[in-house]
Amino acid sequence: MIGEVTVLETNARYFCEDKAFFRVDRLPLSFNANNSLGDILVYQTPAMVRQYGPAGFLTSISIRGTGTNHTQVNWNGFAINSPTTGQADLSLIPAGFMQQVDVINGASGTSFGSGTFGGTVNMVNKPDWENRFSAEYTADAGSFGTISSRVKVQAGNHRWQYHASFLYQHADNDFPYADRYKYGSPVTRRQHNAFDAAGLMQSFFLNLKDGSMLEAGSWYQQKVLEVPALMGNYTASNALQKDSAFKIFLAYRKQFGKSGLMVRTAWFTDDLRYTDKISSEDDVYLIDSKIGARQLRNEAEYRYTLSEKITLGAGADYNSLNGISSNYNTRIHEDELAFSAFMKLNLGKWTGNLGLRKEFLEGTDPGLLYSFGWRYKASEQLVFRTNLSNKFRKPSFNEKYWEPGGNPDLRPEMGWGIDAGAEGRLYSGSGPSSIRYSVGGFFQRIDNWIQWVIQDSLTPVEYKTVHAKGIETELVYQYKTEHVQFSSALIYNLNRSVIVHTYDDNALYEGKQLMYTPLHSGKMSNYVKWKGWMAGLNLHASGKRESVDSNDESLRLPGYFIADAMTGYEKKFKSFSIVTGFRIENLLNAQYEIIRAYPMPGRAYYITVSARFDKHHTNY
Amino acid sequence: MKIKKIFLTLAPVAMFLVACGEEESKNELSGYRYGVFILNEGSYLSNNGSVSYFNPDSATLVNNLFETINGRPLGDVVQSMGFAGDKAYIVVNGSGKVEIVDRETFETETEPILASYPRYFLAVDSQKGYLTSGNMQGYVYVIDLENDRIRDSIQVGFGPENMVKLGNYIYVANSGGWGLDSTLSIIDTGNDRVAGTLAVGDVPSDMALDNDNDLWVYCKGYAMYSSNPPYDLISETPSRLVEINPVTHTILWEGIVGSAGDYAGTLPKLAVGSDGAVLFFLRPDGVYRIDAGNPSLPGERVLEGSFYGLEVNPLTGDLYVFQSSFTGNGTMFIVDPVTGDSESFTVGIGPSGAVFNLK
Repeated sequence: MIGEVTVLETNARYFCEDKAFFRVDRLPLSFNANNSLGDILVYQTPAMVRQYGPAGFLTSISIRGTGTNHTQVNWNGFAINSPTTGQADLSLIPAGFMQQVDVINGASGTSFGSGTFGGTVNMVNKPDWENRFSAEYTADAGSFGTISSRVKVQAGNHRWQYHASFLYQHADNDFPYADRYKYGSPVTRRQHNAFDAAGLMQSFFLNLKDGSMLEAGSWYQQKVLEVPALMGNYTASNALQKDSAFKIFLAYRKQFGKSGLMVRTAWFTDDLRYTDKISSEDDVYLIDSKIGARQLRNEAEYRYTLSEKITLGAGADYNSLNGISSNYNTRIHEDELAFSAFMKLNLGKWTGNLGLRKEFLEGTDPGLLYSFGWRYKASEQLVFRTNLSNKFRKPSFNEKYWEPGGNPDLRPEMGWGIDAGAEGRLYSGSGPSSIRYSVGGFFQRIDNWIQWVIQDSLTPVEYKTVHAKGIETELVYQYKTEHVQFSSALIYNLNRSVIVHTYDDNALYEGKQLMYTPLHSGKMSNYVKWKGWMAGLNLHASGKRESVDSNDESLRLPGYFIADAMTGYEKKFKSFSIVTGFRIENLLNAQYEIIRAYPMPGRAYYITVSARFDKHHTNY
Repeated sequence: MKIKKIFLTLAPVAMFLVACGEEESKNELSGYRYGVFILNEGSYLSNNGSVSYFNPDSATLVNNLFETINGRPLGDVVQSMGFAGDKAYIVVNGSGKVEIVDRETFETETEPILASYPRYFLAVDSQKGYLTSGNMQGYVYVIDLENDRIRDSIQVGFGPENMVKLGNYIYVANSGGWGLDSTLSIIDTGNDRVAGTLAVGDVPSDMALDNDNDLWVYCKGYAMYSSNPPYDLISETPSRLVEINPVTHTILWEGIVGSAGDYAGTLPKLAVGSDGAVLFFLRPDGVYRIDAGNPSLPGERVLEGSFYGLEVNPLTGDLYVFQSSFTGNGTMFIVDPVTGDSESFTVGIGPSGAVFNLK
């Protein structure tokens, strides 16, 4: 078999069957190519996405009611969260750049390192070895001055594959909304809200003669965003934020007889510049804040099949991080080292996973990380899984070194968590229908949750202990024949994430639900493909959310219900196809805020046209 | 916070928590003409500033009064409130507006007055009021109280804050805004012109008149940072209390109370006692008192704790101090400075001060 190499999985993905796992379907991933990853995750996974506005705005992910720096976002095995804030801005990640995305809720610290209390989002570029040459151009235009343009090129054979995606986006975002904070609730258009973004991702895969694989990738992303004023403000905003990031990596995988080796190295640079002026005519900036990070990340993994029943794994990580900012006293440099070990026991119906990890960080020690879990397959219809593991988050550069106020003595946030669930497939026989379900409960404790407070100055402290607990359920129905594909997925979450106590024993906060974490939330995504036609309907419902730690009733945000609908047609010629699509976002014109005082757009219309040339037809 | 434990040893604490409700407020009290209004700044850039209403006779508290009556949130950084005739003027610094409400019903009937970075409002007479505004070059806007519109502007110093009226003159504290200023502007209310300036300490932030009509100014001091990395603190000038005779413009007394860097978690607030003979002022570790007639520092600490604001009830002489965490509701403590008896109330987010309407 020429070049048919099983792409070796990372240890993190190999030793994780005991966790709650959500895979994003390929179909929506390619349809919403010009949207950001946040738009897709909100409908396909239990995650909640926090946005300050429509496309282009800071979009952060919150899983299980945890913080926005409690979910690690990975690209080909590398964590891309910013070392300065600990967050990953999903608006900088075009969904269509990735071939595979999945979410692991409550991912363990042993497999991923820092910042996984909520979970991980794992994005992977994968080669399509069947591809010879394909080129695709997609143009998208719609309401509020939105346009985007994407070019995708793939070339290769069974030996090598090259893949490039380029995306340009612009939106004025001047949508009308009723400003309920102003006298008379006037309907106005959102001002100073535009954004421009461009990104280029390239991947290269090479199968070497000895069966090993070399992979290289690069990703450049840039965004300029006008930051608007709050609702109710009469003063115009002149704030501007520019983000630019460049990432490049190299990876090597080799499968020996009983073992496999993966080594990878990456260089990441991130820069953010935030400016503000008193008036738009001014030359001088009132605020000009620059923050940059440079990282060198290296990982090596080894896996060894000891016997039919036992597989062992080991990993070593070495990262060299630098932070540069006018707000830091000096240029920050930190090294990180970690060693991990894993074991999988395959006992027929039972599979057990055990993991241990030790991190060596400068000036702080999160202790030994462990993960212990089981998966029991009673039948195809019923599979149980349970996992006990601890997680931690290393304090970010801003928390430690920001002048004034940064606290270099902060200890890491820590906590253990337990996950248990059942899942299975019904009707997964030879017929066209299949039903898949999953139901699980979780409990995660987070100690030393760091938050900025006013003491002698604004400073981050080990502020509170949180218990995040809840239930996650998913039901997926799929129907597939030669001409028709239909899928409907329903997710419901119950999330009771509360402050147990604060460092100053503030009784006003005890037992209170965390900010922006609804108790109830549900999503549904439906797709149908029939001959050349496709249609989709996505629904998202959220219960009411608190906007302050003390759960003041007057500051609560009401629940909301959003529906997005889309339809499209693919016309195929020999090697060529054209897809035209039309979608309506926020079909019901809901007036809502995800973050208090930042309005989200009402109903919006978009058309997409995509032309694809394929030398060798693939199942895209 | 530590203050809670200190309070428990100091005096019995009574907790009153009254949920706000329209029925309660409208029936129990005959409108909002008489009472105390607590200004809750909000947590900045979150539009959660508010005004709380408190009746000290019945100890009834109504939080979030503006939104309860008018059905919409007040806005971002509620800075101050002033009264003129039948109306109250609420200055919402972050949202760039001054909301005008009826003093009895607390309803708004007109559009707010718009201004860039407005801070304090003071009624001059029945026809006009002054509004300080600006975080660099500052202005005092002359507001026509008949139609509630700005009709003129007077250029003053940088970052004008609150104002004090004595006879036909208004004294404006120029706190420097985002720069530096160390003057008071004196405005002749007859012709709306600057009649003079007084030099005081750096960053004059709060003022009050004592029973001799001498003007006390709390000057925060100025912290200067290098414009090159690593942006070290180059200099820090001292914080002062300055006593001035406002008519003769002479400085009668001044004393150093600390330095500019002390005021991140505490505001440089002062208040005159109800008899006008003592002066209370805030420091990061509590409330201090000096004799207005015969001042000497460091003064006597009458209340220990870390507070964000200080007021004195002009009728009873009680101290009203505020604790703000900005991530959730704050607390107001009412303390008798003689006996130490105190009560605490949960108010809005970031309470920084109060205005008293007890006549």
